[in-house]
Amino acid sequence: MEGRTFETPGSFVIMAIYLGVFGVMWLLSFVYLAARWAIS
Amino acid sequence: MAVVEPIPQVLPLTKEEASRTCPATGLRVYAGAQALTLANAVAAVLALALGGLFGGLIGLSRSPALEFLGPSTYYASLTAHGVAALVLWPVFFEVAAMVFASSILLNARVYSVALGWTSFALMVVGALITFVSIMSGEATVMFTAYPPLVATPWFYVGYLLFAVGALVAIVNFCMSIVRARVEGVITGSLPVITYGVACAAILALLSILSGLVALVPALLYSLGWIEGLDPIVYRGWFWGLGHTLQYVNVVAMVVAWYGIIALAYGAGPVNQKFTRIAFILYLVIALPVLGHHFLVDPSLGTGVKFVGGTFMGFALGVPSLMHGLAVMGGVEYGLRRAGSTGLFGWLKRLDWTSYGTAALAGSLVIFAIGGWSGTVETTLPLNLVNHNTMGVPAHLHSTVVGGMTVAFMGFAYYLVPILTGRRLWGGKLATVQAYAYTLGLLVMITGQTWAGILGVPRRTQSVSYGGDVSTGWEASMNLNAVGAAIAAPAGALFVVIMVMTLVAGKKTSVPEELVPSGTR
Amino acid sequence: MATSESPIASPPPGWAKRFPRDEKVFVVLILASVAAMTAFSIGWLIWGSQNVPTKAEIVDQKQFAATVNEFAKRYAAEDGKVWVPPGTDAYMLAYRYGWTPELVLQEDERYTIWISSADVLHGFSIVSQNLNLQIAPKHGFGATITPDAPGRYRIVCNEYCGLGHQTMTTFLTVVTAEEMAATRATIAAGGTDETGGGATSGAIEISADPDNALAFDVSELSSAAGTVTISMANPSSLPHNIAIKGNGVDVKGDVVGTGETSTVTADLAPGTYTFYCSVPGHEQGGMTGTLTIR
Repeated sequence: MEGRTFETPGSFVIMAIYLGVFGVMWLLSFVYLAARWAIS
Repeated sequence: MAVVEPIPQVLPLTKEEASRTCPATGLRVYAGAQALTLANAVAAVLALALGGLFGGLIGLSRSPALEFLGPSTYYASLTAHGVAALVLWPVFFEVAAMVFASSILLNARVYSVALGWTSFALMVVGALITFVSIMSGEATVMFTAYPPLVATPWFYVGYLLFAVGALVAIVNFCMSIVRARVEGVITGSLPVITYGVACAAILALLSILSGLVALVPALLYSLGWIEGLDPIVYRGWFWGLGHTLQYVNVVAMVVAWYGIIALAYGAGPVNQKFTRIAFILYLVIALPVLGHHFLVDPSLGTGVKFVGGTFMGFALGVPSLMHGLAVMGGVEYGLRRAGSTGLFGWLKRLDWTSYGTAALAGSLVIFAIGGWSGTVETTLPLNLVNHNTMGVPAHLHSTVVGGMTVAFMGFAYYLVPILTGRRLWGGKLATVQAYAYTLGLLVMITGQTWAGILGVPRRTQSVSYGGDVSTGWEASMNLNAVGAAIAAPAGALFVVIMVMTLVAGKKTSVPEELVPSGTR
Repeated sequence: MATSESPIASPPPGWAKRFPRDEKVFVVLILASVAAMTAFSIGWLIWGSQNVPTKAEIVDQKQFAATVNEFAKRYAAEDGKVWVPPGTDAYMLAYRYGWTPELVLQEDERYTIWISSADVLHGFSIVSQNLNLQIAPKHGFGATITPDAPGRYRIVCNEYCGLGHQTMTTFLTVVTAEEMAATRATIAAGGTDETGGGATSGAIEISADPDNALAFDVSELSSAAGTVTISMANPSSLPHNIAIKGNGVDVKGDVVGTGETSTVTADLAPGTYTFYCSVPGHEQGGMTGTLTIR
């Protein structure tokens, strides 16, 4: 019962999609940063 | 419905304390515990009312179209908003949760009711002193009060009293659990809610102590007893564990999530081990986290900033993500066992007109946004394009208001009827309140995020700079004001519902009336 | 058999043994994300061109202000701004409520701008670039910036610093190499000594008498013509301010309390002015002096 299937696939899919969107938005922030003047 | 554990008379009761059995949950509610929980909850709601009032005012005033508050009024209101909404409201509510989780939830008595009232008195007096000092205009320093900005000594005195009161409440919390164990009132593992609150209490204990170390020298500086105070050092103590203190709020929010799903859906975490590990992870990671506040400060080295701020910040996302799955999974699990099929069939089984569902959904969605913005802002180089812009209020309103406050509201909608034996006043009005508040916050946060991307500064009364404002600034801040105009009245509605429930809610012992189900 | 465990009651024994597959897979996903983000961030720190400045020093406030003053005088042009030649470090001082001096930089050149505060925490923010730094008294922060296009860039303070916070703004101008060379030639021709005809952003610091006498610590001040700022520290327990009058000028700084600083700025042509405290009775009691502008 535990080994093969997911018990709560709906929640898992929601959270996995969120994690994916989260990662993409985070990367896009670097694109925004890259368009600024060089600073260090 | 929970099983009521028989209470063995292991030690003789020193004093007969009145108690009743809650018809909805079967819990043994002692009079002292009920009174203390309610008192702190009422103080919390009043603090929220003040925080929301000032929040609405400043949100509207920052619209370039309105801008009706002059600098001294605006900055004083902003200070009041920060203190009431970020310090008083959460801490009072968390103390209420601590009392509840260490007594009522365990079918036990509070360790010392006298100590409980002492803590309450200290917190109320401290809050009043600080608040009055802000209203007098002598403490326009923001809730952060960075020196050399200085306020009247009363501002710090009130803050310190409030902090000491909270510490006393934490001691009482720990002792209540110890006593319940010693008396054999609880056996086996602590319920997950108490477990979570205990993690919050430990985080609170350490971070409040750190805050005291920052505030005491600031008080001495205000009194003129010490000369210069390096703001970088003050920031180190204030924010060193200051974000840890915010994690007390996060943990409490997560506890409220579990509370809502337990009471509205009879659901528990999808897996006890997973949830408890996630709570412990908050302790392990939130304690050493520092420095998202120092990322662009001229103080710490890159290594410390990266590990302490960025890496620990990323790691802090782990327990929150885990709880997201555990909370939703717990609801889904229960509904699948009741017959739902398909990937999202269980979502249709939820009663979306239930105030528990509305608050839980709103809280989960907005906190998710806050988790994203927080992770962006804690990333060292990304902080360059975020620090002190409107992006920071966008993040903190997502997490503290959209996440924590909405969750507390939802939890209160179940807790207050249980504590008072009165049905929630207004019926579906609470559902409207939760959805409207969520909508207002989403609009507000969109405006703030957009403003942050454009570089609009935070904590600034007006951004017209003599009429030469950049394009897009007006539109984003106007959108922020629209959101505030929706959220503030919706927040006020929560206060109204709470007060009306307390004074005019229908007395009932029908479980379904006190704790209505959140599923169809 | 496994029940949806209720968080209200104590969990049934044996809860420590279960760990469903969903949770295991999800934990792996989260940990992989954290690892990927950490690796990417470290990569950016090493190879990215936009990173948090690392040059920071403890500075003495008076000395830093003097350095800013000297730097401003050396490179000031007729328009009152400081034109910084490529390869030279620039300096800026934040104070309540403004920034000094106003810099002009050359496009596509790397400049290190050292910034500190004369009083409280401030926030240095080049708004259209959305680059933001925390500025603290007693700490100098050296930001190495390469502006990539000519233009006029607004700088605001984004750390609440007091009731005038929303007025604390200045500009950073970026010019082409030709414009910079042309202006530098005129500075060289006009001379760079203190009595030069060019306007300077003079920043003068004085103090009110700490023992509550109605007096400043100086009775005579002088400065070159142009934008003059007088900052008066108030160590006494009386409210004071600093104000300038004379020759059609009449400006007053904020009245401040103990430990605060009052600031007044004015564009002054050569002549004699009076600096004084405008709190009723104070000027008559002796809080006044002569300001000579050359």
